[in-house]
Amino acid sequence: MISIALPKGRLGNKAYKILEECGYTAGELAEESRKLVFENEACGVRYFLVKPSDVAIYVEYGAADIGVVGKDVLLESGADVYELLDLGIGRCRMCVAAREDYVEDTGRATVVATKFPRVARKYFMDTNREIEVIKLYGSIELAPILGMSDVIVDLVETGTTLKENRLKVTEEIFPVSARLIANKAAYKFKESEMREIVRRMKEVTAK
Amino acid sequence: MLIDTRSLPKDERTYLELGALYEKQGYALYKMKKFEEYSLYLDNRNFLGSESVLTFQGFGGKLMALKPDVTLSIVKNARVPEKGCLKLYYRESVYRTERGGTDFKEINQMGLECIGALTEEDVRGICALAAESLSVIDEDFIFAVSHMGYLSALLDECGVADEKNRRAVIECLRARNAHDLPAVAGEGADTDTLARVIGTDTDFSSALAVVISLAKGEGTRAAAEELVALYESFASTPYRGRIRLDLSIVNDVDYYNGMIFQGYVSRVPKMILSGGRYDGLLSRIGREQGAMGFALNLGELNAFYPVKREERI
Repeated sequence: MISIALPKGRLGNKAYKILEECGYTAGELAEESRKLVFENEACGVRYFLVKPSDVAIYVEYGAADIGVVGKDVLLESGADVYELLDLGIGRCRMCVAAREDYVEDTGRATVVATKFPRVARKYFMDTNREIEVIKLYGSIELAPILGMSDVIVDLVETGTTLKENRLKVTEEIFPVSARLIANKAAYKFKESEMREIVRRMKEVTAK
Repeated sequence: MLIDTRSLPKDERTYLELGALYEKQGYALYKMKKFEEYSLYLDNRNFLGSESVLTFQGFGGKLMALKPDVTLSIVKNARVPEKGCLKLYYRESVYRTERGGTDFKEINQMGLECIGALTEEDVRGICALAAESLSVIDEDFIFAVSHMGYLSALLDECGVADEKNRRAVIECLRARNAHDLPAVAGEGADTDTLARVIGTDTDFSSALAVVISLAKGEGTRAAAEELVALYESFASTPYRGRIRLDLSIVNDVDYYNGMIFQGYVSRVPKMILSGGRYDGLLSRIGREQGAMGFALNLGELNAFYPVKREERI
């Protein structure tokens, strides 16, 4: 039996569709329900629906053998897991953005508002720039508008939200998409099953 | 009065059984202080793989640290004979933060070190002892082997020269991530070969065939031969079905140079044994000797192997 952690919401639904097409069905999961665990013994899979930011943790601690998680969440968690496949869904970009009239003051530390402090620190450290991080949990775009931060580090999908708030992308950090991850210990004992899942998902996502 | 070891917690029972095993193999128990000068760890941060060290001020203003690692202390303090090898085993507490965390934990660690004129037979003997150590904990275990000499030479042969690209490719290997290779390996790098290494399954004989077929240079060929000899040496042991060749196991290139390995048991969802050959650490402190060892995190075991009620005293 392989246990799979899926993120609740749009990304989880898309990921489940791929898994369903691969033959790993769990009928009830597609229906509206408040259940969090779905099992199909015949297919040898058990699904958990968890908060997107928790998927990597469930997999790293072995509560789930594999999971689907955005590259943004994966890098922010720093989870020590295998990253077996790029599913090519949930595409967007991790970017630095600022007010349209922003000019960097190199004489002081840049104030960065973000939901992704680890990603932000690593990016600015790699480019040898000093920053002060303000961790926020939502509406990140407000921070530079209200003068609380110089820039933000956040996900940009179409750029519409930025435009509507008179912000612009100043730097692109990395492209983001959903990844299939696996617990390293579980992989050792269930390698053939996991390789089969990867093979089927590769076929379906390549279509 | 004799003690019924079945009533002991799993870590204590394992310690007693492994201690007997290591002494039978000629390893002597080594006790050490709980602390060292902080500079020892500062100079070897990459060997530790962590920058979190619990420090305190000693007499005379010297900055001291509670041991985050045992190997460094043994290498620094133990007297190695001019001929042959120094063979030690230990059971010590080390103090570290868990990855990403900020709280320090006292970790109950047991392991062994073999330092001196290491022969190929010694190397294979230590691998066999590591596998046997896992079998003492649980019959359902996996002993996964990799080779730093092979990986390091393979990166050269694949044209991954720049230090930043090498680090990124190593991260991809570690994560079995073939899809990000083209973006991080650098211009002109042979990412197809690297992707083959990542994509191969860990069944030793089939992975070994891939490893041999990709070995084009002297460094990769020599390492492949070492892996062949190891596999052959396991053929006559009860653990032949438990050994894997897994090149996603990568340690720091500056310290580790030969065979490296990790151990897992089916009940514990994390690695419980790790080790390998680390001649690089000794050459960094100006000693031309070989060194190899491994450590087991015994503290993890009790949660996954609770003592049954009828077995308690």
